[in-house]
Amino acid sequence: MDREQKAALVRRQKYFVFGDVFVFAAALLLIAALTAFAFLAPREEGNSFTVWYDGRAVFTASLAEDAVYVFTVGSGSVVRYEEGADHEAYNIIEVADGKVRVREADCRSQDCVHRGAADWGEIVCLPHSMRIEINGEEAQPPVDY
Amino acid sequence: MLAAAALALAGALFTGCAENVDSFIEYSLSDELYVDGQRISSYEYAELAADVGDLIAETEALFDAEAEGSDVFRINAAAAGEAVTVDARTYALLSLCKQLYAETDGAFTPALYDLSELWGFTPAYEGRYSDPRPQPSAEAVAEALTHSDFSGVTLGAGNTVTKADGETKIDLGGVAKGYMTDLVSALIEERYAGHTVEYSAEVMSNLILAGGKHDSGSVRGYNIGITDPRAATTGTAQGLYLTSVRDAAISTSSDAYRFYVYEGNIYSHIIDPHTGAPSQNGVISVTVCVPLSAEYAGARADAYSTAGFCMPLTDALAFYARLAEEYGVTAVVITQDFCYYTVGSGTVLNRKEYADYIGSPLTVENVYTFAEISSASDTVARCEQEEAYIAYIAGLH
Repeated sequence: MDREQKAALVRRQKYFVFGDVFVFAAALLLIAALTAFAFLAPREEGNSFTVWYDGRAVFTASLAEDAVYVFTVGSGSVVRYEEGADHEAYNIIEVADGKVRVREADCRSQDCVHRGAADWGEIVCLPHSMRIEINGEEAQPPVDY
Repeated sequence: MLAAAALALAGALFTGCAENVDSFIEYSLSDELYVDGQRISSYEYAELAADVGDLIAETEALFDAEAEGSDVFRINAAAAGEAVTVDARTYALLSLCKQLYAETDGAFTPALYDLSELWGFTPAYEGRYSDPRPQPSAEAVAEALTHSDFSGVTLGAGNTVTKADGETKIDLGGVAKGYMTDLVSALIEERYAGHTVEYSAEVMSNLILAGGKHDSGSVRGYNIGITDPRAATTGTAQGLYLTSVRDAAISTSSDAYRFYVYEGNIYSHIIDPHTGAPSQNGVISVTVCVPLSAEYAGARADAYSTAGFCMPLTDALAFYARLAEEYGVTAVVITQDFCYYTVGSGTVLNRKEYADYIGSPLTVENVYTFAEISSASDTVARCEQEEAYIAYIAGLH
């Protein structure tokens, strides 16, 4: 068809033809399926967590062992926390009853603290570029096969 | 339903390699396939992967003892003295079996179909680890053993197979998957004849690695995780690691796949041809790495890991030492006292060593303990973790 005919079709709004219904139906079905998957998929409780800082994994520990760790911005180190010790630019990470939470932090937003204790998903501290990822499986060093 | 559909779709979109799980044989061909250092296009890969799929399906149809009309089915059904004409690939595999049978003094034999049946290693029992099975009588085992002599199978001109004993039945389970990796390898090498091809493929715990692993601009050896045979209770996916592997076929035989627990003992699908019973030598996993310079490296790795699994520990270690000398084989043997032995020049790392080696921030624990070959003994006692594993499996329903 030439430009004229095309323009005429558009003018008559004939571009949406019957067959398109299937395309939209398929798209809607896909959205519904993905939404259902997101909400219905069983959430497996994690049994370890990894601390990511600046795009690299800096620390991994088990959720089975109750412990308190402290993460420090800059060095990206995560070490056992000694109660009462003073830190700057830090997040205190606590593991208890198979869950991990940020107990205390000196970041601006405090979003990480408000996230509470979790045994799935992740806890993010944007101001400190720190992320705690909860692993479904016991974390393993990567292999090629 | 919708969730499943979405998952399937997501899987189809993001899978990095061709996998086939519908068929009994699971295989994969990595899409990281390089010809003269250049990665092939996804279109070219898709075409090749489809051909590999056809090849696996074709050969499975030849070797499947349960499929009526298959080569193996017809051999098994044949009477004494009746010549059965088989496909050239079946004939080549049986010829190789003859060679391996001689080389391993009968520790590797494909003539154990009856005994596998007798011990209940049939598809009906797949995955039912704690079901008690009919324990065959000593007489039944002795009777089956008399018909399990592979030397009575003769390979003749024109791809013919003849049995001296009509009751002898073949089961290629201990070598077929490794051989399939050899056939995949031959298909790829033929398609890119005159070029250097790098690829990796896997057929049910049989791995073939041609060339190295392309990793952020450079090429290195592959790091292979040896599946922890006690993962069910240790929670670790990999028990040990083989590092810097190139141009090799790797196969693992373990008692953690197709097995059952009965009265506190593990009965694995690997039948000891000398006793006619599931192998119980205290060995729980054997991994064998055969350089591709050896002809039929894939089939060899498969058969060697099966053969060593049935041997008393010291015999197995001596057997692999001989193969290390002859073909450059590396072997890793894990025993039920949670020790491991290594033979050959390949690098085998424990969990902590591996985490250090790749610079992983993970804190890992070793599961198995390195043991010197000189300390090996044919009587291997079960350790506490092994008892706990058996109790755990026995409690599964």
